Amino acid sequence: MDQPKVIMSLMFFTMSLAFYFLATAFYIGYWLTRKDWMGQAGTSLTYVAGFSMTMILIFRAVESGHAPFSNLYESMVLFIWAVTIGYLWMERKYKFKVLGAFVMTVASLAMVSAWLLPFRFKNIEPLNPALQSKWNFLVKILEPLGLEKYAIGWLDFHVFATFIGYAAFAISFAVAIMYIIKIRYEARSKKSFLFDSFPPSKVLDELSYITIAWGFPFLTVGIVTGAIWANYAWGTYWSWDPKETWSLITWLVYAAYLHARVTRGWRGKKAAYISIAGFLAVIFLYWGVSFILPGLHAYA
Amino acid sequence: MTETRPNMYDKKAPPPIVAIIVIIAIIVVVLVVVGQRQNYKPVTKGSPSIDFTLPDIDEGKLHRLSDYRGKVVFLNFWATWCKPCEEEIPSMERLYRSLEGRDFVILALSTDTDPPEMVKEFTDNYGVTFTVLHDRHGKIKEAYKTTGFPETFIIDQNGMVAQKIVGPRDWDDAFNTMTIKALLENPPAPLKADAPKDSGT
Amino acid sequence: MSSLWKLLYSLKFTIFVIMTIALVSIIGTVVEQGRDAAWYAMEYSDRWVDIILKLKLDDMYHSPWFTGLLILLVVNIIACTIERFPPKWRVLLRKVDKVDTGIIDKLSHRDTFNLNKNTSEFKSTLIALFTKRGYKVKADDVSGGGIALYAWRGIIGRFGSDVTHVSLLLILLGAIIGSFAGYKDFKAVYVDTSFSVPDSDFEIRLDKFWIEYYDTGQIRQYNSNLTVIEDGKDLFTKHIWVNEPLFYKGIRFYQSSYGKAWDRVAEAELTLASKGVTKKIYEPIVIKWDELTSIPGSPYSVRMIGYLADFAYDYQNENFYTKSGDPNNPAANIVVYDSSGEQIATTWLLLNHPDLLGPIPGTTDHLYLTGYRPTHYSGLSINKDPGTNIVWLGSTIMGIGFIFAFFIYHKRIWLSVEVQEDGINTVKVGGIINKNQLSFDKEFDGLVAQLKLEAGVAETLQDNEED
Repeated sequence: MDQPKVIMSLMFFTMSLAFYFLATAFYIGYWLTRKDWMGQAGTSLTYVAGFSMTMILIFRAVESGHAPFSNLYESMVLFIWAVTIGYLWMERKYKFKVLGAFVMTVASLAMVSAWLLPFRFKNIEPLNPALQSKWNFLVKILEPLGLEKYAIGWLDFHVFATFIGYAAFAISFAVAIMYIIKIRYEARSKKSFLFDSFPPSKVLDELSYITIAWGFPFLTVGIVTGAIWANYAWGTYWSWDPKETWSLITWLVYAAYLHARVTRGWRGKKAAYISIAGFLAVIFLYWGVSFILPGLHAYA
Repeated sequence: MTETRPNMYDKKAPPPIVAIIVIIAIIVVVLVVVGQRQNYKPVTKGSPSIDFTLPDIDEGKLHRLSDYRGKVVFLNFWATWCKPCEEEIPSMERLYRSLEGRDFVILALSTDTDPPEMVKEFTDNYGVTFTVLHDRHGKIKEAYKTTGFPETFIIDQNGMVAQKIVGPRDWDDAFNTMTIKALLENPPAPLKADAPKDSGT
Repeated sequence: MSSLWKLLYSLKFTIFVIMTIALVSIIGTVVEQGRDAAWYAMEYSDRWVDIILKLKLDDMYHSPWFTGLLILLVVNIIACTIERFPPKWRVLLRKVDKVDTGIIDKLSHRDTFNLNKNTSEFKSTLIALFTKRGYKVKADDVSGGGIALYAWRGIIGRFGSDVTHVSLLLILLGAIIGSFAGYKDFKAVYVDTSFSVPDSDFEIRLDKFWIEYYDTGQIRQYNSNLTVIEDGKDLFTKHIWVNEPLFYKGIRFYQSSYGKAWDRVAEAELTLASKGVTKKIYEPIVIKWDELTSIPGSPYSVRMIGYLADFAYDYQNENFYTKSGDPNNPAANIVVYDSSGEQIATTWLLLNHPDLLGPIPGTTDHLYLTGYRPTHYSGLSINKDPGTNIVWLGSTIMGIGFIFAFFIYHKRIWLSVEVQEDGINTVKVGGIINKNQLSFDKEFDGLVAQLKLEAGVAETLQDNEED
């Protein structure tokens, strides 16, 4: 009798979950104790988690025969992977390890919510007709190699770009929270054990801007390529369905943030609150629309 | 020099304790997860069945799957709100009656969150005599990795899954009961006694 | 300057309009759009239904007040661009005639060090250094033997916002054109039937419709072969599937769905039973749509001339109709002929109610509908949208605008060399960037290190980095 084989992507997920918990614990330990080795352990474990997540995506693609972002579970993996890569890049460039305590907490919470999904969201399924969007030129190139089933199209591009955008917004969300905490403590002259190790609020504000300056173009590319795909699949590039509308709402909120940053009286705290509202819109856009609202886009 | 960047402490190589922590973490996580690899396999033909204990909807008496070793078990996952499930109940009942006296049992696991009395009212309507158990929290359906309703697992006398059927079937149709009949005619050789794999309920 | 105009181009107004559109859009996701009044009456209490219909919340994104909000946004963009673009253009693109290095003392990124090299040699080194870094340079000699240098790059980054705003206007324009000059339609088409395309001069015929399945039984793809007919002649045939439409004369045809026909079937299964003295149940026969078929062993022949998926009888108008598209009450309309070919009965046979009607008149034989094989229709979405290309053009320009706005920074460096009384030359350098201060820290430090090396006050670049 054929023995069923281990679903590698699921196994790597559980391993990743453990690594995220450990990394977050060490980053929090670093924040509370200021011991360098804890911060370094946090960083190393984050690299391990990132590698483990990459393995999930690779195995998933092999197991399912299509790009690994076709359902809620797979897209969560992509999202958390992007948050991790984005955070590691940011830490490498700006070197503020205390950010890890916050960003990795967000990542761990995301991992837990993906883990708690019922199995039917994690099952490997073949793509339904609407999700099979392939660029013809790629199909032609890959056909002689027998790899035409891996040809991607507007849909994959759309999902990928959108999730890089979401990930950047997730990081900016963590930074915005740190910013609001920090300005409150900078106003008092007392020393604060917990919050003195935060970067100065000016820096947090800049980091928040930088992450949104990456997230916003990616979200825009995501929305536009989504419209292009919708045009091919359903005959119209914009149908005001709840998912499309909420993506526009999110886009508008971040556009408001970008304008707030250059408006007198709206810089700093007000802008930070707008960016927090933006990420809450992202969460609703991602999970709320699929589960709470009716419409075409039940997915992810 | 601008003061917005922290000190260059990380130019130094991290102390060995970091490498030790990371290596130990990797080893422990991998060992634990790989040790449980059964959890990451699909439950289908060739898999061992996953043991569980659930109350029935009549009196709440507890039933354990492994108690039915030696019999062919028709393990069915359903819910009262699932129309195709409802449609296959009559043919399931007829199948059960037709195999009365044989080593055959039906365990229909309802995942309704309603109280068992409601489920019983529903099944009594159809004159169901086979065993209906209540998987109220959906834990067993998760353990069996079902993705919808109804799903049926035919488990052989050794507790191994012989067939997995996704979706409703007409259980009057001989084609659909071929595996069940074959197992009853030619039971597999008993395996050496090993502890049934538990789902942990 | 009227205060109205000031409001219209103000950033606070921008934030207000953007946030209002965002918040108001939420309503359209909570209240389902595009349903008829009866549907809302069922879902909501009377008071809410009244509000929904009065405020046009059933189609709010095309309502006058939502359009009004979009118009406000457009006005704000235009006003803002008129106010800010020309002065920005003038200031940024103005030729620099005199370099003012006094500004250096006011900058947060600045440094001072000595010059151990010859001034004019240093000047050419500086020009080469900045040019290599991608800057444009203007270096003047100052009376007294000094240098005043101004280097800049990335001016185009400042126009990112203007380019983005123009692109938004283009996108909105494309959307408006589409909604006025375009249309959307849907047609459920049966095989071997054709329809004429609205707003054009050609027809489409469906030649074939089929469904592909995965091994697991799930649907893989649904496909249609469509032929374009113009002037009575077949022009070409295209195989379409979901995500692969047919495009002809500005109109697109999409495979968007399919369904079971509600007014015809491919085949029906009939069973004849004799309930007279000799009881007999005949072998069921399968008959095709509109094909005369004899029932073996009996004197009868039958022909199926009608089918309804959800059979119902309208007493008032005395006609048969289908209540819905779902096969809730399948019924076949059968004509029965006797052995001589005479038509002896026409009747509806209901799958779920076999004994509703009696036997064939004058006999004890009953005819039952015992099965059927459905026929499918191909669901085609038709879309004409001349504004689409303008929307894509706008999107592309927006991409360019983003690259300018988010990834190209306007950096400016001033450098002065002053000859002191004691004969030592001092170099003062300062820089400024329009955004992304953090990345500029590193860049400026690196620049200063390089300058110090060229000035001969550092042995290697390393000496400076350990500060």
